Parts: sequence; C-alpha cells; structure tokens
Amino acid sequence: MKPAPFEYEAPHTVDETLALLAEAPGDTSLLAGGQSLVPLLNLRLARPALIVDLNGVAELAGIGASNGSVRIGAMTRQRAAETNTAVCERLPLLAEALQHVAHVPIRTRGTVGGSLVHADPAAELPAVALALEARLALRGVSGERTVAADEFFLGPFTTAREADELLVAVDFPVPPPGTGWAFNELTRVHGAFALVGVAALLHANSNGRIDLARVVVFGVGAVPYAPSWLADVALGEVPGEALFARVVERMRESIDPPDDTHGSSQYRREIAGVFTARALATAARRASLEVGP
Amino acid sequence: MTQPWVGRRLPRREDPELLTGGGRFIGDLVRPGMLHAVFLRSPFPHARITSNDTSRAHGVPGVHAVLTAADFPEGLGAQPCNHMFHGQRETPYFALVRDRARYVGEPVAVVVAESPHVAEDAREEIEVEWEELPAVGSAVRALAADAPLLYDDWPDNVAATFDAQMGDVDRALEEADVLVTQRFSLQRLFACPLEGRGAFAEWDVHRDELTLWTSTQIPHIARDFLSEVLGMPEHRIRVLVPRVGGAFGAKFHFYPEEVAVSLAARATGRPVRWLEDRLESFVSTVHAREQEINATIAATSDGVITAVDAEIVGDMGAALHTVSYGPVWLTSVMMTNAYLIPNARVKTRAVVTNKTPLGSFRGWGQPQANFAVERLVDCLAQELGMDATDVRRRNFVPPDRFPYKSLHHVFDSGRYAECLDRALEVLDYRGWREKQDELRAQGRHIGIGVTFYVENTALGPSRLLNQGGVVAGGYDIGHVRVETGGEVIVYTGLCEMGQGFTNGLAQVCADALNVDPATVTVVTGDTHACPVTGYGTGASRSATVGGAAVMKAAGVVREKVRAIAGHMLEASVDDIEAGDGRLWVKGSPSRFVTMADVGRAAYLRPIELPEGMDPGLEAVEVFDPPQMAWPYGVNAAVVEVDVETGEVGFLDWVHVHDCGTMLNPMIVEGQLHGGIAQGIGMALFEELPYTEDGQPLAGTFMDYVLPTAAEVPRMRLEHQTTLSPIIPGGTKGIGEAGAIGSPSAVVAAIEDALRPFGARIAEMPVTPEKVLALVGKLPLEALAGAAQEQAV
Repeated sequence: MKPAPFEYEAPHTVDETLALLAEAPGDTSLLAGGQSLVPLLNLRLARPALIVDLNGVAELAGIGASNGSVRIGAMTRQRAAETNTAVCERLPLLAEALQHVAHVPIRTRGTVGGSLVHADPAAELPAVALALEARLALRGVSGERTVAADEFFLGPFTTAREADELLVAVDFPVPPPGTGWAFNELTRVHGAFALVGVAALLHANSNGRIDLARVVVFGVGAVPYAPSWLADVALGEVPGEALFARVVERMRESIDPPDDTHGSSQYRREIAGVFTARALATAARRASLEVGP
Repeated sequence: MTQPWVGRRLPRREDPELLTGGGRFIGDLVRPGMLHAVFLRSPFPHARITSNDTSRAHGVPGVHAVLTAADFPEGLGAQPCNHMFHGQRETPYFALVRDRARYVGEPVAVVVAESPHVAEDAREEIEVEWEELPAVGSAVRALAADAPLLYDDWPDNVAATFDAQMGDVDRALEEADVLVTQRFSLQRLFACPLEGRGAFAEWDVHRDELTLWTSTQIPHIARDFLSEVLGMPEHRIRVLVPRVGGAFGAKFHFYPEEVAVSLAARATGRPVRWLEDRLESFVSTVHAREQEINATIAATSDGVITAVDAEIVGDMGAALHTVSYGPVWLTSVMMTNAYLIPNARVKTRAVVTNKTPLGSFRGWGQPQANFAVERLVDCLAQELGMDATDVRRRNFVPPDRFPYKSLHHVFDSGRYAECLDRALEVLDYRGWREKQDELRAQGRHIGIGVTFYVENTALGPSRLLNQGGVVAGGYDIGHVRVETGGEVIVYTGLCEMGQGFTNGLAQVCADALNVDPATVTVVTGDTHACPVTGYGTGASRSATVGGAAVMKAAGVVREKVRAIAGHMLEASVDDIEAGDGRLWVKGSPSRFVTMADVGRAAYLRPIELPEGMDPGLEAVEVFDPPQMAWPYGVNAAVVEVDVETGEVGFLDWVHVHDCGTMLNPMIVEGQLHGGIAQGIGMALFEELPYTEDGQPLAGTFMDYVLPTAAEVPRMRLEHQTTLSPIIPGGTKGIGEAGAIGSPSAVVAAIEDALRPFGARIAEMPVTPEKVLALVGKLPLEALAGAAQEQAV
C-alpha cells in the first residue's frame, strides 16, 4: 500500500496554482486534506502523474460571514468550520452535518472544499451544499465562475469543475430566521461511511404554511438526491403527518439505491423513508411548527 | 509477612512506554543495509501457474531480488502443522505457490527492493500466466457430489472427520418430552490485530545463522518449524519478538512469509523486512470461526436437558494451517457447555474450500459451541414457557460433581448457579423485565440476554496433548535468576503480545521471593535466551501454566536465598523470615540481610556461602498441568432495538465470572473488556463474506466493520473466586473468556427484544438489515437457516 511514482508541486498562491493547472497533464490530482486521496494513492486506485499540494496556499482557507451568506474557503479544515461561530449560529445544518464526517482527527485534516470536489456519493457535505443551495466559486486562469450546487455534482466522484479550475470558496446562503433543520445518517459504526443520510430544512410563513422545504438524501444514488417535486408537494401546505407521509412515500419511490455488503437497495430505500420522516419531524420541531394530522 | 502482590491492581509496567509512542514494533526496527519485501499474491481462488516471468521486475531500478518458488531451495519443506489429528489428510502448501494457488491472497512471489514503494512498482511488472480452475467458495458447495476438488488425490473435499460421543443419544431422543432443533451459521471473520503481521530476517552468511524478528505468539514453534522447513539446525536460528500490537490467536501461526523473508535475506545478503499491509491482511492472515452447526437438544417437560445431538461442518479454507482443524474439534467437544447432559453425540467434518486458511482467534472453537448451545437453551425455554435462566440453573454441573468429566474434558471446579444468581442480582434482572413490559407498551423494544460460558484454559497436560495429535507439549518452563544486586530476571518462553501477563508473572515471582515486583524483570520473545514453552502463548495458559512454572522456579531460588541468608545471619534456615526484599532471624527483624547482600554473596563473594554450596542464584523448573482449568461466567446484556432502522444499542452489560485467583484484577478486567468487545464485533459487525466461487468481498475497513469505543457498552464486572484445585495458586486462565459467551448474549438480547415479532436468530452478524427482515419489514429470505423446531 505505497503510491505509484508521481510528480509533486506545492504552490503558495492561487495564481501559482492556476498557472500550474493550466500547464498540468490531464491526470493531475489536487491534494487538499488528503483524507480520501491518500488512501486512493496507497491503494494505487489513483495514479496521478502530478500532485498539486494546496496545503501551502494560505488564501484558500478562512471563513467570512456577510449579509445573508457564509463564505468558506475551499481549504478550510472541516473541524475549523464545525467549530466556527458564524457556521454554528447561521448554518446549524452544516455544523451538525460536519459532526458526522468521520472522526475528529480526520476532520482536523479534511477540508470543506476537498470533500465537495471529491463528490463521494456517501459524503455529507455535498448533500448539505444541495440542501443549503450553496454556490461554488471556481477559478481558472481566464477568470472565476460560480456554479450552483445542483449543477456541480454530476456523478460519483465527478463534478462540473474543469481540470484547470480550482474551487476557491463556497458560499452558503443563510436560511431565513426560524428555519428548522435536521441531519441524520445511518452508519454501521460511528464515523463510518453512511449507508443512507438525510439533510432537511423547513420553514413556514406567519400563516403556518410551509414556504421553504428541502430534503436531500444521500448514499442512495450517484449523487445526493434533492427532489424537485418537493416544492409542489409541500409549499403552501400546513405541516402534518399526512403530508410528511406523502413525502416519505414519494421519496422511496423516487430513488434506486445501490446494493453492497452493508445493505441491500431495498434496505436503503426503507431507511431513506424512515430518515426522511424523522428529519421532517425534527426540522418541524426546530422551526417551532405544530405538526397536525 | 507483607500483603501478597498477587491479587493487587498494579498498573501495567509497559503502559507508559506504549502510551507515549515508545514501543518498538517490527515496523520500528532498523538494521544497516535493510531492504523491503512485498508479496505478489494470487488474484484467483483456484488457478494453476502456467508461466511466471519476473525479468521485467528484476529490471526496475532499486530491485535486489524477485523470487518465486523456483528460486527457493529444492528441498524446502512444506509448512508444518502443530496439530496432527488422527486421520487428517495432508494439505501441503509452501512459502510460495509452486504450481497451483488455492485461495485469493496465497503468496506467489516476493520482491525485495530499496523501499516498499519500489518493490510495489516492480511487483506490477511480474508477468504470471494463470489457468483458472473451478473453485468452491463455501463448505456446502465443497461437499456437493460434483464439487471441484482442491487436492486431486482425495476422493472429496473432506480433510478430516471426528466423532465425539457419550451415553445413549438415540434412546434419549426417543424418550424426550421436547426436542429443539436449529441450524446455526457461524460467519467467517478474523482476529484483525491492529498491528498486522511482520517479519524481519537477517542471515549472517559468515556464521550461517538466521535471525528472524517476527510478530508472533509462538517464537519457539516458529524456530522449530523454520528449522524443519529450511533443513537447518535450531541452534543456528534465533527468533526474536519485539513489541506485538495485538495477536488474538492470528499470530499463533507459522506463516509462509516468515520462510520467504528468511530466504530473501539469504538470497540478497541483506536484512529484509516485510510488513503486512492492511489490504493483504484480509486475505493472508488466518481467518476464523466459520462453521455450520446443526444441533438438537432433548429435554424433559420440566426443562432437564437429556441429550445433545449435533453435526458440525468447519470451513477450513484452502489448507490445514498451523493448528489444523483444532478450533472445529474444540467446538465439537464443547457442545455440552456447562451442563450436566448425560448423552451427547457430535459428528464433525473439516472441509477445504478455496478461501484463506482458517485458524486461531480468541476462543478457538468455543464461541461457536457456546452460541449453538446457548441459543438452543433459549429456544427450549421458549418452547417450555420457562425463564431461560431457570433452565440454565436446572442443568448446571453442580459444585459437588467436580472434577466433572464432560464430553471430552475434565472440568476442575465451579459454582455456576451462584455465579448466575449474582449476575441476575447485579443486573437487576427482575427490574429490567418489568421495564421491558412498560417500554413495550410505549412501542420501545428492549431485550435481555443472559448466557453462560465455560472456558478451556491452562492447556496441558503434555501427554494428553500428544495423544490428541498436538506436536508440542503442554508444559511451561520458568527460569528465575537473582542478579548480583538482588534484582530478579524471569525468562519465559511465553510471549508478550499486549495482554500484559508479564506483570502477573512478576507478581507471582515477587511473592515467591518476598521482593517488590518493581525489582523483577520478565524477559520474553528470544529463543536464544528464553526456555522453551510446551505450546506457545495461546489457550489462556500464560498466567496459569506459566505462572505455576515461575512459582516453582522462584520457590527453588527462595530456598537457596534462605539458606544463604541463614548462613550469613548465623541462624537456622528454619528461623529465617522474609519480606520487602529483606531476610531476618525470627524475632529480631533489625538484624537482616538484603537480597542485594545475598546476590553479592552468590556471585561475587562465594566465600560467604555455606560450605559446599555452589555459587550462582537461579533455577529452571517445569510445570506440566495435570489437567486443564475451567473459568466460567455470565454475560447479561440489555439492548434496545430500533425496529424502524434495525439498529441495536446497549443499555446495560453485566459480566460476573470466576477465574480463580486473579494475579492482577486490572489485567483480568482488561482481558474481559477486550474479549467482550470482540464478541460484540462477532454478534453485530464482523464478517468476511466470499462469493460462491471463492472471491473475497471484504478487503478494507470500509467492508470489514470493527466495533469502535462508541459501539461497546460500559461493562459492569464482578469477580467470584473458586480456586482451581489443579493449578498451584488456584489460578484459571482469562484470556479468551470475554469472547466466548458474549455473542450468544447479544443475540439472545436482540431476540428477546423482538419477541413480539416471533424472531428466531441463528446467524451473525445481526446487521440492521437482518433486524428489519426479522420484524417483517424486509423479505425473510434475507435470513439463512430459518428456524425449525418440533415438539413431541
């Protein structure tokens, strides 16, 4: 379990990095926290010709809160985000989800941007990015563009990032005050990859009618599943058991989860439903919403 | 006389070293000029090598050697077995595959290079052409009439059979009021020590001597087997064991890599180290546990068990490894557990399949027997409408029946019912039962599982082992030496692998010599310095057999110490008293000599010794146990099952046990904690699945689930002490106890929680998905071995 030979570059600025990427061979890997890439290298499942190490690019790390959003630099360590006051106060869904990412020592190395760009179907952060409708800032030598989360994740370990682009930061819009949230995942043991996970947000207007409903399930397909039908089903409705049951049923019908040794497709489908129900209940409670029949 | 050291909770002496990262394991050893070895392994479950071209690999810069079986000496022996049961067939396998690989992971070539990275680069350049052969991935498939054969000259895939019997089973079955029958599937898993294996060989060409550092539990067996395989006398082979990061039985094996690395060191003239990586550990370290057990118990209508009738099939993988089918054999003779069952019949078959060889893991065959018997007792209680703890109490071997001849073994002593009653009291069994009813009414599902185990420890005596086919004996040799300064060194052939038994031996020795254990050093893991041990470090024999040998040797030294002290104090030996490293004449403690005075006289000032006494102060003594010692205990688990997700969580765990005299209760408790954690792993998490044609499906920790601290409950332990009458000091072993009875307790608790659903559980691990099948939320075909029972 030792990596195959590779070239190594360690730039210090974003501009240096972009210049390197512009010239780099197609099979170049970016090294962020290394919590996914290094095992893949050691297993020789990843055999890049060049590794560009981002750990010396100081400007990529940091968290800034502005009006209505929190911007997290791509190289911000997951643990730093998890313990950041702005994240905890304004993005409790993200803070809670981060606690489910592996273990503290891993989060101390692992980065927010690294997890998003790696795009593991069982990972927490892509699902949260979808639920919060995050915008990802990608920079190349020719300039910067912003990609919405729902256009970023294209498949397992595949994103909209071009080979010569660098994810520099992620903007997480802050949900309206009073939004309830929930995050839960099923793992075989603490810190392991999720078989199924759910992130949810719920908010109602002053008349008690739902005006924001997002549920994202992950581990059940190639990319986290954020149902487009949810708005039609839930918006304008009063929170209630029957409504939630409809969402659960439709969720189970809409996904086709994979099989593996930890659980069959059928099991994952069942759990996705259970967790959707629980997430809706928790989010409703946190939003101080009365759940009717 | 000061308070004895035995029985005190002394902190383990090695912990500061280990906890501050100072422990030196194989991976920490450095030798000048050292090279690194990696192995190419078979990707096929069953295939013949048609050609093997290593020339390109040789050409990779930094490569020193690429060796295949053809490069090894022609007379190289097959890997030996330590257990040669009557009638077992031979399954010859070698350090490297000669012509036919029989499991995925079998070593085919070894590459030696300047770094492990370069060695892995070169490994990719080896060109092997394979002719794939039909393979069998399960014992059921291996037993089919048309199954492909692993060994062409055999009529089938059965490597050995064994029958155990007592009483008249047919008659008991006929006369029974109730019969309960169940088929149990015990999954394949493995010990998975967090430090993998490793071997580091240095061959001194000038002296033609081999030094092998290896991460093992059996340095002397490893040396003897190296000698046999290499055709080289034992005195020119030295096996050294540095710190070992867990072994749990998996390192009670002599592995092909130990031979290959030794030969690679000879071929290159350089020290060569191989460290097993995690990836290869899942296919190259012995697996464990896998069996099918089909068993019936017969009972009267008031719950007296009258017979056990069982058939066992053990899946041995591709070859009989170091311990042959020992674990399966042990399952077969433990099928009456702690119960006074007069009639028993167990038919056992050990079957070869195209999987990694099966071997040792904490408990050997006992967790399997315990699972089957304890599950059947639970079923019987259900059948009779009795409380399962009452059925157990009714059937225990009572205290006045010891020594009790069981199906094969003789149990030495025990107060089983008292132990069970105490566990129920500590748990508040009645209280939990009431709470269970309350919570059930609220839709919460908690369950209580209480099961009983006995453990086979203090393995011996030598004659019995030899009769049974064990190549080694069952004795241990203790060597105790007092140094010039009065400090003590104990040499033992037993091996420290993290369990801490050397602390216990120091306490035994300290009591025997009336010194502080801080002045006693215990040396292990050097075949040139340490005496032979009959068997190796396994079968929970270090504290018992090893402790008794040290006690005996220290006793001899003590008599010489007293004689010297008496002479120095001009008093009769009979009047000498001792304590805290001093000796004095009865009644006048202020006139004393110290151990240092005695040591100095023994080595530097023989003029101070009694007339005719030889200088020196040491003794070597042998202890061969007359029988085995049998600790026992109760696991009482309380679980809560989430019937929507299938998740299982623990609410309480009580363990009450009896291992006789405890040398160091803190170490006893550590052994129990670790064993129970591994038992929970077996019950809920761990499995090495294979496809029907022999491809392994678990190859990383993403697939192989080990419990973490978060999944293991806080355990409430309580000790009971019934001395072993056959071990000096009354000690019984404890190393495997925790792992034996815990799986059955977890599963009993889950089944109890799911009683409203009529669940019956006969296989592990009980994954969340299986729980959902049991409560009817997923199709039942997910579960194999569905319950069969009948009442007559």
